[in-house]
Amino acid sequence: MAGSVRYPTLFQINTRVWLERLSREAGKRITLAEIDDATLDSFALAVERLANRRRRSRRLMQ
Amino acid sequence: MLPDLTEDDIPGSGFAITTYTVNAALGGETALAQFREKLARRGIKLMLDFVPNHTAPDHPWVKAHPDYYVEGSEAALAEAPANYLRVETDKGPKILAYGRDPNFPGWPDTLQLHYANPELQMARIDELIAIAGKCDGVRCDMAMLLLPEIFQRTWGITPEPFWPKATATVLEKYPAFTFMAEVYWDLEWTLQQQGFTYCYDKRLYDRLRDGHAGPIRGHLLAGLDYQDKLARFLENHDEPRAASEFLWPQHQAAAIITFLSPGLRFFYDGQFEGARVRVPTHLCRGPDEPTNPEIAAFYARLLAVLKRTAFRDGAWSQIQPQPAWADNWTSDGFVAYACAGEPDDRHVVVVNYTGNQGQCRLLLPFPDLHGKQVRLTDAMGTEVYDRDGSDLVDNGLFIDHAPWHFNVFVLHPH
Repeated sequence: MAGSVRYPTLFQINTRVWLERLSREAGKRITLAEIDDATLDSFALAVERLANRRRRSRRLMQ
Repeated sequence: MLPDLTEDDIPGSGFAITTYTVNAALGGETALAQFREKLARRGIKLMLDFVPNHTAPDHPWVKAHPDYYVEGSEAALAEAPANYLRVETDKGPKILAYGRDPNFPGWPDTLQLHYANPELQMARIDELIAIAGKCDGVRCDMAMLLLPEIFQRTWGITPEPFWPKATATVLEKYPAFTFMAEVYWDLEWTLQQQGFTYCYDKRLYDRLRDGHAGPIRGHLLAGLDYQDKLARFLENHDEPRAASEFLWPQHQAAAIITFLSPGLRFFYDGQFEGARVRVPTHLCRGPDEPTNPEIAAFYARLLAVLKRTAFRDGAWSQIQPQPAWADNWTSDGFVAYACAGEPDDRHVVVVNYTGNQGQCRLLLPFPDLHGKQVRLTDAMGTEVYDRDGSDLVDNGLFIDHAPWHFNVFVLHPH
């Protein structure tokens, strides 16, 4: 937590649901490696400047 | 919810874990590392999920280390067949316990880890260290089940405390790592003391659903050493969607109270668009729901407010609403905060958290407003008021609000 803001923001995604949606929109299979910058930028835009932002990825690891 | 549901939509339970590696379908370990790197370039940290209490019945430990699990007996199986499973292990056939909490029958897609076995504790700490190398924080599912007193209630065995050792060991290697606990049953403070950076604040959520302002104010009276370490939410994968649980006027009022209180502001994918369908965690596909423009506009404004330094790094305090005049009880329906960064970055948040019109006065905790004129501009709406600073401090800001109405006033003294 060093250097972080006092009250950060957390945005939870369900990784599989999120990737399935991105894949459907892109018309091809999208994994965590293929998420394009535009998606990440729009993702970041919502919480822009909320330093120490975090993503929680439910079931990313299993 | 999904009229065209297929087998492909049901990948299995996220709470029945066989290994903490990244599934190939998601891209594998390399993809996760790349994803984390891309997030880091945008100033975003990555938190992953950890299910400490149990594993899937086909976890490799079941065969190799059955002593890592709570073992039952023929008698226990006969008495509670819903709580035990016969398994084959490298050490012969065993009867192991399904994962469970003290209150409910076992979860049959899981087996209960035996936290009174010091070797299991070591193995779990090693796993946490490995996870901590891949991300910036971990959300620990039902973290209180491992507390010695809770484990004792469930299993009649008292393990050594796990979390103080686990969090300290991980933090020694990764000092900036964040631990967040999913926790209920009034054990938030206990887990904070055992190393958790944040604990779910289900109590605020429950009180917001109950809809009475008094108990909400009472909850927000706790010390900031406690409140700063609470994760404030209005929905997550275990709760109904806020847009379906709350009528829209109350939803907005509850969001203002929740996300402008101190602590971690915890949002869920779909919340900003007003999604109404809760996707069960055993599905990997959600329905297509149209964005609700009114809800999206509200959250866009709220996120803009949250970018203000005062709400990220400032000093938060609660303002106790005073009766606007003698015998006017409607002040009891209000919740109000002050949030101050630098002297030119001060805010007053006020919410009428009732279904009736109400009035109150808010004595502003900013004595230096004495002798000044103050313009109050609503960052969540269009209201603008000019007030006398001495009056705001001595007699209070007069508020007269329709049901569920709220303001986030930015103060401009001049």
